[in-house]
Amino acid sequence: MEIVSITDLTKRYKELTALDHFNLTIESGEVFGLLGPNGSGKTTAINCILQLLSFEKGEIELFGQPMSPTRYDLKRRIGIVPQNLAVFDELSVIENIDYFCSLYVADKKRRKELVAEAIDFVGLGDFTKFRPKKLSGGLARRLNIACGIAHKPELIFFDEPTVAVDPQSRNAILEGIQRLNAEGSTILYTSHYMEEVEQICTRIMILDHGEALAQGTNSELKSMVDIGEKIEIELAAPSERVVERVKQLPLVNSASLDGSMLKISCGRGLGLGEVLDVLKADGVEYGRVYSEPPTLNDVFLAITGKELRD
Amino acid sequence: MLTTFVTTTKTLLRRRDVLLWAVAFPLVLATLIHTMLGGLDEHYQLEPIDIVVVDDASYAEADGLSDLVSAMAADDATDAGPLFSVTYVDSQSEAEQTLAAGSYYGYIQVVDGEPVYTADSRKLELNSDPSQNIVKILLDRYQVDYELVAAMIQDNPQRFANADFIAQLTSDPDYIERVSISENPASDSLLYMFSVLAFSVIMMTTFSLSAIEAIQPRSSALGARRSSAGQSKLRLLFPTLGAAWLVGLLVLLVTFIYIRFGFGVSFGGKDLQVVATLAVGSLTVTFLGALISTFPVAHSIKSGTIAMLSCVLSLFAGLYGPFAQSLGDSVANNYPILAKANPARAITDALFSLYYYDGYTRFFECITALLILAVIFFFLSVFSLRRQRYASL
Repeated sequence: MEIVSITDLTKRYKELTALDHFNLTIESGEVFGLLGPNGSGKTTAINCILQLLSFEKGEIELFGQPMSPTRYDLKRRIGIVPQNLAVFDELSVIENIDYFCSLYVADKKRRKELVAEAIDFVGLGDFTKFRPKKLSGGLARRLNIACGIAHKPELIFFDEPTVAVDPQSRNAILEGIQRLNAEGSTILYTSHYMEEVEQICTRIMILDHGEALAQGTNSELKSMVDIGEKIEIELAAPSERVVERVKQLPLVNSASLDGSMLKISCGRGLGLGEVLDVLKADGVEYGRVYSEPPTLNDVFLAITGKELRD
Repeated sequence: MLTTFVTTTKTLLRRRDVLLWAVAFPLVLATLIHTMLGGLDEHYQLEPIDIVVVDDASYAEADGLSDLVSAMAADDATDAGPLFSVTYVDSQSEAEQTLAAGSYYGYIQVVDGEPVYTADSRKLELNSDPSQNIVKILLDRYQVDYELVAAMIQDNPQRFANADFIAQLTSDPDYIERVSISENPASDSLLYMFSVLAFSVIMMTTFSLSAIEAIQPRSSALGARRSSAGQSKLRLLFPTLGAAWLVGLLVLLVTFIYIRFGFGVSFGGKDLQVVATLAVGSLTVTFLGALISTFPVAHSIKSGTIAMLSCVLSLFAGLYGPFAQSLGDSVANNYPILAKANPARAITDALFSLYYYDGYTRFFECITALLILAVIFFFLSVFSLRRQRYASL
C-alpha cells in the first residue's frame, strides 16, 4: 500500500525552484531515505507534505487519500521529528512529551501509558523532570524524537534528526528508528549523511536542487553508475612505472601516486584481488592495503560532479 | 484544548525573564511615582492654619472677635476640621517671639478696637499657599460686618428690638448650592497610578505575542510542529488566547494589589470594578498581541512594536505628567475617536470615571470602547491566523 504519493510537485521561493516536478512514492513498512546536500529540497518536501507550505503545482496523497491543510484525520496518523529542536523550554521532559501526545490522543489514561513508553523508548527515564536546556545535545534530540513518536504514528518524518549529535546518541537514534519501523511505522528519513541513509533505509532518493536525481535501493543506486572499489596500496618503492602498469588494467578508472600510496579508483567488476595479483606478478613490494567499497557519495559525485557535502 | 490552555499558562508563568519584566517594571514605576508624587495630594488636604492671638484686654473687648476665632478653631469649623490652630499669648512682644520660631503664619492683635493681622513675611513669599488670604478674608469680613452693624445700631437702634430682624441679620444663607460629582477627594498622584495601571495593561500584550507565535509555523519550529499536529488552528488559538489573557490578568492583579494595599491608594471603594476594568483591558491587549504576532517580521521587531506602543499610548493616557495629560485631553477633545481607539486612554478614563463619578455612564462608555477594540483586534488576528499554508517558513 502506498503511504505517501507525490506527483509532479513544484515549489518555488520567488526565483528559486525548491522542488521541480518532484515525484515520490513510499510503500507501507519502508524506511525511505531522502539524501541530498543542504538546500536540496528535503525539508521543503516534508513541509509541503504536511501542508505547511503552499506549492505551485502537484498532488499529494497520504494513506491513499488526498492531503489538504484541514485533513486532521490524516495528520493524526503522522509523527514529525523536525530538524530543529521544537519543544517548550519551560516544560520538563515528561510535560513536553505529554503535551505533544495530547495533540493526538485525548484520553489521559492512554496518554500516560504512551508517554511512559516513549520515555522508555528514547532512554530518557532518568531525565523526566529535566527542562530541555539542562539536557545535552544528544538527549535533547531524543526528547525531540519522543515528542514526535509518543502517539505511535503510522508514518513518521525524521528531518535530519542526527545533526550535531554525538556518535553514541546517533547510533541510539538510528537503532530507535529501525525499531519503530520493525513495530510497523513507515519512515521518511532525510539526511545529508550518506552512511546513515545506507545503514537504515530500504530505499533511497538522491535529491539536488529540488530534483530527484536517482532512486532505488542502496545497491540499485550504486549499480546505476560505473563505480567499484577505491583501493589504496602502500608501495615499498613508489614509481610511475607501477602506476602506468595499473592503469593498463581493464576497469581502472584512475590511478595516481600520493607519496608512497598508490590510489586506484576501480570500475564495477574489478576488485582488490585482481590488482594485488598484478602487483605480485610484477614483483612490486607493498605494505598496508586499504579497500573501500563504493558509497552513495560516489554515486552523488558521479551524477552531479560534486561531493555530497560540498 | 484544556491541555493547550494549561500548558500555555504554565509556559507563560515559567518565563522568568518576561514575567520579571512584566511584573517588576510596573511595580518599580508605581513605586517611583508614589515616592515622588505622593506629596502632591497634601495640597488638596486642608490643614489648620497656625496663628497667634494676643489675648489681652483689647482682644477681650473686641465684640465677637474671640467668638469668631474660637469658632474657626473648633473641630466643626469646616467639613475637614478646624480652620485655625490658635496659640494665645499675653502681649505683642511675646507674639513676635512666637512668630520668630517660624511655624506660625502671623498673629492677631486688637489695636484701637480693630483687629490687626501681622503676617510672617516668610510665609507671605509662598504664593501658592492660600492660608494668609484665608485669614485676611475672614478678618476683613469680621471688620466689615462689625462696622456695618455698629452703624445700623447708631442710625436705627429700634430695629434691633425686632427679633426677626436680628435672626435675619445673623443668618448665613447659602445662595449657591454646592453639588459634588464625587464623594472621593481629588488626587493628582492617583491620576498617575491610573496611567501606570493602563501602561501595565498594554505591556501584557507581550504574553499573547509570545504565546501566539508558538502556534504559528512561520514564527518557530515549535509552531510548525504544533500546526502539523491533528488539531485545527482554532483549537490551538482559543485556549492559547485564554491562557495569555489569564496570565496577563494575574500579573495586573499583582500590580493592583501592590498599589492598593502596598501604598494604601484608594480607588474610591470600587476595587472590584477596577479589577473588572483590568480584565477587560487585558482581553483587549491579548487580542492586540495576537494581531501583532501575525506581522510577517522578526520577533524582535514585534517586541519593539509593543514597547513602542506601550510608551506612545501611555503618553496620551497622561503617564508622563501634566504635559502628557494636557496633550491627552486635547486629543480627546478634538479627536474623540482617537482617544477611544487608545486602549491605555480608555483604561485610564475608565478608572478615572470610576473614582470621580458616582454614576457608571462614563465608565461603561470606556468599557464599551475597550470591548469594541477587543472585537476588532480579535477578528483581525483570526483573519490573519486563519491561513493554513505559507509561501515560505
